[in-house]
Amino acid sequence: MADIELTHVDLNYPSLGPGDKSARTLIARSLRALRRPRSDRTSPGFQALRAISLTAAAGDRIALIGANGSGKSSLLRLLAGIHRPSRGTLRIRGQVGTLFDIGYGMDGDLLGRDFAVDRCLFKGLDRAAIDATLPEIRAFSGLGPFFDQPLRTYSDGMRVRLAFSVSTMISPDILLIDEIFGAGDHQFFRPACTRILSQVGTSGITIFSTHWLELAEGFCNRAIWLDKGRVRQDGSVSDVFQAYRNQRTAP
Amino acid sequence: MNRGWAPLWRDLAMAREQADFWPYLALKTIRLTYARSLFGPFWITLTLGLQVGALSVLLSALLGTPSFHIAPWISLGLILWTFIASSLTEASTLIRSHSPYFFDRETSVSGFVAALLLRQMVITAHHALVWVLLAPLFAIWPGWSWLLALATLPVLVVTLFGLCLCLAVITPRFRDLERLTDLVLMAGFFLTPVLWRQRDLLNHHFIATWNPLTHLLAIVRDPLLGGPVPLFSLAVSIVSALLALLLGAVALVRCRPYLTGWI
Repeated sequence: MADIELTHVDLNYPSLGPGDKSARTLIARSLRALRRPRSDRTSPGFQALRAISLTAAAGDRIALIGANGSGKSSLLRLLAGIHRPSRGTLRIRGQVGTLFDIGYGMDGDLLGRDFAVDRCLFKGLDRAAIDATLPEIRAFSGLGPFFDQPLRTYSDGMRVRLAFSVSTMISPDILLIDEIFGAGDHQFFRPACTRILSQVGTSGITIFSTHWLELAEGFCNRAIWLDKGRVRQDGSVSDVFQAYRNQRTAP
Repeated sequence: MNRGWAPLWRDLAMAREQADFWPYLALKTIRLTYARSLFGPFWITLTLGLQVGALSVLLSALLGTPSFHIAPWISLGLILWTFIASSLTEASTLIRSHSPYFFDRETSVSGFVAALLLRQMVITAHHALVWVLLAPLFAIWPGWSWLLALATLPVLVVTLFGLCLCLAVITPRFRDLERLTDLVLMAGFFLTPVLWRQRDLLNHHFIATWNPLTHLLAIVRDPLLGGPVPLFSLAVSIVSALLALLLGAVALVRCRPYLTGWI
């Protein structure tokens, strides 16, 4: 059984701009710092998440909503183990799978099949499991003979289908999805959502961030609204979405 | 937050979880580099062969030594130096060049470093063909001493693993280290007995004696040339390997929790 528990979690990113480590900036900053009291001299960086406390249990399908920059992706990456909390504790039980940036690593000279193998290996599948899965990926992507062609011959839509088919082939206990239903081929994404539902089932946890509220309403049983790195509201989908819509339409 | 060695154990556990990915990644990069090429990875062999030929002719003319005296030394020197320098150069940009992987799931830096070294070893195997073809021309025949070189090669690989791990995790934070690595390797090429011999130095012998790279080259090159493994060099190399591993482990423990914030 899967479960997640976050207690007073902060996440800070170091503020590293293009010129942040240049000698000129360092000298200028050191001179300015001399005029400030010692306690003010450390750079706080950028605080992406502040005092997040939440729990999730098996069967939760959580929609993560909020404006751009509210911390949705940061929270998902934290749950995936990509970032470590700067403060607070994070406890996760169960195997975590992600659907974040699904299109990376698509070199034009790779065959569709090779890309599928590459991605499945990176996700942690072994060769035997991948060999058993490849026919299913080929069938679900609907690419037909293009599955054995180099990726440079694919259209953008075909690339998305392939990447998505590969990424959704893994069945984790906790599935984290970041904004992948934003645009594109709705005809493809409807069955894709059904597949995600069947993947995780009732014993797992699904958390997905989206701006597509209509999709989330049919899919989720809980919603979390993030605002400036804090949990603004956590509750039923109807309550949280209503409050979110009201706030967006408010003058 | 003091987490002790936990980031290291976590990184190694991730490397094990994705164990099948690393060899695939190493070979995929070579396959893609030489995709649709007539000679494929044998361009690597040709490139080094030409370098060895040109340098042997040039140096024999400059030094007045017959080229068959210096060609074996130069070819082995260049093969090993290319392995060392390419591994370190690539390690300094390793995380940046694979950043999308680090934002897709929790993954292992040590796994990426292992894939890098495996790729470089495959490239070195292609380079070694030059040696296999050249050695009989210079009346150097395979013998038991070649097996000694296979036994000492892991010391060099372990040293590189530690150094590459250290560079890989520090360079995302301190990008000057990418340039500094190139600079040190360029100076190192001239100050290490790659093309010249330690015994040819008229003075300043410390340049070679105090340089750990001299010893790392010697433990592999000397047996391939038919001699014994120099014991002093072996001792220095083993100590270097242990120090490099410790350096890599400490750098990983210190930097791993912040790495994705730096990329």
